Amino acid sequence: MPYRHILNLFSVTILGLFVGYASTHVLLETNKNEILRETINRKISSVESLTETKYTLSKLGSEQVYQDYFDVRIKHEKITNEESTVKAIITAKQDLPAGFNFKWILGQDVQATSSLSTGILNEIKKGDQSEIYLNVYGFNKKQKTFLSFEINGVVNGQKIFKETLSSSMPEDSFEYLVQQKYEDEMKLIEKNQKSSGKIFGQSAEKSFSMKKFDLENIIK
Amino acid sequence: MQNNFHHLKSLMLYSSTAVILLTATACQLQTANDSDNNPSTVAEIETCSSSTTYASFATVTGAATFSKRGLAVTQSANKVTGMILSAPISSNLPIRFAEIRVLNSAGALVQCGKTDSAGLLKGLDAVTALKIPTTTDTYTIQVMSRSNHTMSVVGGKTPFMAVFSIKEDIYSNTLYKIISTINVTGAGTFPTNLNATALESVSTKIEGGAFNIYNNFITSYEYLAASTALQDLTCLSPKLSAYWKAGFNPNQYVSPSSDPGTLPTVSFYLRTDKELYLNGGRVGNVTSDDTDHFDDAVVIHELGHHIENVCGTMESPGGSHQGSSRIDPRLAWSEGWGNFFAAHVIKNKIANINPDLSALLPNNEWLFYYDSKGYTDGAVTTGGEYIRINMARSGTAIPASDQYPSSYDFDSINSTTNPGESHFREVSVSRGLFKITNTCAAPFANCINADNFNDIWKSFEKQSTGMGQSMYPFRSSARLFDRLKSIKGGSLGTLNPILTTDEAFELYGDTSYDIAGPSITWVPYGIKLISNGATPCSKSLQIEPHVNASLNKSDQRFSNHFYYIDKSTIPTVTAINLTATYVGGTASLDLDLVLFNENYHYNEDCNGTCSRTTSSDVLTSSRGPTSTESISISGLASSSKYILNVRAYTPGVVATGTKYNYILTDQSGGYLCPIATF
Repeated sequence: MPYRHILNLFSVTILGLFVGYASTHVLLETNKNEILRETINRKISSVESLTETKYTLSKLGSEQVYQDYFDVRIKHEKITNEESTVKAIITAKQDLPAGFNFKWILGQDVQATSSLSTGILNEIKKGDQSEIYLNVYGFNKKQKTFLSFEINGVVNGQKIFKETLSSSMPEDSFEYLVQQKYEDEMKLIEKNQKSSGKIFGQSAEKSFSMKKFDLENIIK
Repeated sequence: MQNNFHHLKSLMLYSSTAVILLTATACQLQTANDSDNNPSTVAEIETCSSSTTYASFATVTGAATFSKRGLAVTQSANKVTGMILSAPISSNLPIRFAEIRVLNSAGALVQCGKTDSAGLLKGLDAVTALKIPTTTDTYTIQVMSRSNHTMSVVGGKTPFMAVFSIKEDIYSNTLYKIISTINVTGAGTFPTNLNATALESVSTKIEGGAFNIYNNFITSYEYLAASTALQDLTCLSPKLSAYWKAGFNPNQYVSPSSDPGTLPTVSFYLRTDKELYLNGGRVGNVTSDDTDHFDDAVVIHELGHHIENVCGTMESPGGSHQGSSRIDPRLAWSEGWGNFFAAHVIKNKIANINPDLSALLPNNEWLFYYDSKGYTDGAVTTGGEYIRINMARSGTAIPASDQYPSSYDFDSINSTTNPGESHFREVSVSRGLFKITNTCAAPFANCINADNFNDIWKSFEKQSTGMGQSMYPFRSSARLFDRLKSIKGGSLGTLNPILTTDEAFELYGDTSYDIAGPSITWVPYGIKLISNGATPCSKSLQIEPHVNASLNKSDQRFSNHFYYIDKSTIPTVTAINLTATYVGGTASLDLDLVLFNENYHYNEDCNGTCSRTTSSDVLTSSRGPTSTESISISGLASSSKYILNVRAYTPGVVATGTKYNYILTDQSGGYLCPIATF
């Protein structure tokens, strides 16, 4: 190859690297903004479609016992920079007698605007739900703030306590990232199983989390 | 034409090269930046372990420290009535024996070093000066949350290593670090100080939390080095990894699809991977939710599990333990050890853990397993208690004010009516161990006022004298205290009243198990079953079924007896028969035989409704509603270990005073008995 061609090839290589490097940053910056916007608009899917309702790991017995009786979730009904509305959804797994105390606990910079922040739950039949609404200021996407919903009482002589926490920006948490990672893994497993002709869900390959954090291996 | 074609060919070649390079570069950068949004597992950065010699050098001096939130203590009548995580303690604490990396302005590593016992920046030997090039430049000093240090031990003791890392998450494996820069202009001394903050308002990562976990580890290792005489601790040398992130609940790793706001907070130990996971809060909340990074007892409790795993033998089946009922004795032991070790290390190394704390406590004594919730420091007022357990109190009299939650029982015991029940109660195991090796003043003057930790360690370890040895399968506090008795020369002496009056750790042979007949009402968990030929056992065996404990759990102390089956000891036995005889109380019960594999999980019979269950851990069972049962053991391997469970099936009400005698025989009618010496 003539010397001139080698020089040309070298020049084009350098030019290619330069253009590639510069344009990538521009493209990535655009992409990053897209991801950021998308992240802000996303919601934690598992809040809506929670399938796992029994947790083995907890520190206090009362946090284990409650799971036999009810589920509690906090749903963001309306999040605005002015007044926001949240609701706690209590789903009874057994007939729940009336008399459980509930309390909304508001974090720093969150104020209740109306409705009761404490009260007593009415009787809830097995499978039914009770919804407790709260209107608040300061619970929005401008800054990360928190509120929680506590239930405590006694059933069949067993003390029950449950505190459910909610962040105004759940998508900003590392828990959210772990959920996304898990969802990506499960999609990949599903894809691999489909491509190998297996039916998803049957003798399914375990995810990284399911393998590493097998309850058999966990000592708390 | 040929020339034009040649030019066209060249142009195509160049264009192709440019496109390929552009694409390759873009892809490479895309991959690198993607890791921010979609984390993949990245290996931990290599340890900085080479010291570079510079003929001409500048010396870096200064100290690495961390701050931690302290405790606000309230007390009444010489008793602690509350403790809340509060503002940072009055002085920063040294980061000891941590890795130092020095980088030049181009990011190249120019020196490795280590902090010394006072947190001072030193060379890799933690003694000599930290020397870097004299080349004019801005250098970055990084102190990492990683240790690779040979611990100081007494003469004659084998040195061991403290090798551990505190990392952000399982995907990036990023170490925490604190950073400072110095401008070097030539030879000379260049001072710099670094601090890891406890305040999220200063750094959202709260590096002080990571370095407090680090400090808990190094302090615990120091305690062990100094408190186990010449015993070999090289079992601690392999690498330990801990994961913690401010505002993140590691339970999300375990249940990744769960609603984070509902998922309970927890810290835990992953025994196969030898990793600790410590709770940093939930969904970013570190102010009002449960966090563990400044809860020294929680951190050291989890470290205690690791120590049991590598220096002893861990047989805990895991599972729920709340200090409220009699549970699997392997679980009670493992958790009780963790609680004890945490409270004990804090009490005996309090100047390293929190030098402010002693002055805040009655009698200047730390006596607790303590877990905080949120904090209160003036600006934030959402602190509270999560768990507070007094380790020095008597097991028989537990005023509600001495603990949190005050409504909890935390394993009170009755050594008269329930001898031996402490072996099945986690918090009692913690208290028993604590009280036999600490000094405690009134109103909790229930301790031995002597240091027996070295003997406890001898009873615990796996190398020469302890129950961790393979000859002692199915470990519990019954085995631990039996080993301790042997190490003490055959008698527990002055420890005995604490263990059998203040708590209920009666050992095998204790008269409280003897009743008229003569019969014995309990055999220690995991005692070996042997052939006794045509001779009946020296005492008949009696089981005293109790009503199921909370959460419908079978009472493992009263409704069950457990025997270690070593087929090599009874090679001719091919079947085990049980014959039960009603003695008193509820007459409708019956006894069953269940044979488990070595690492079994106990299969409960009642969960809402009751039935005679089996599980994958049950090798064989005989569970008919009769007074006779029989199982075949002909297929058992002589090299494996098994446990035979004689179980009273207790689906309903069981009257107080219910008793059944039973005998165990082989296929020929020969008697099978618990071995005479445990």
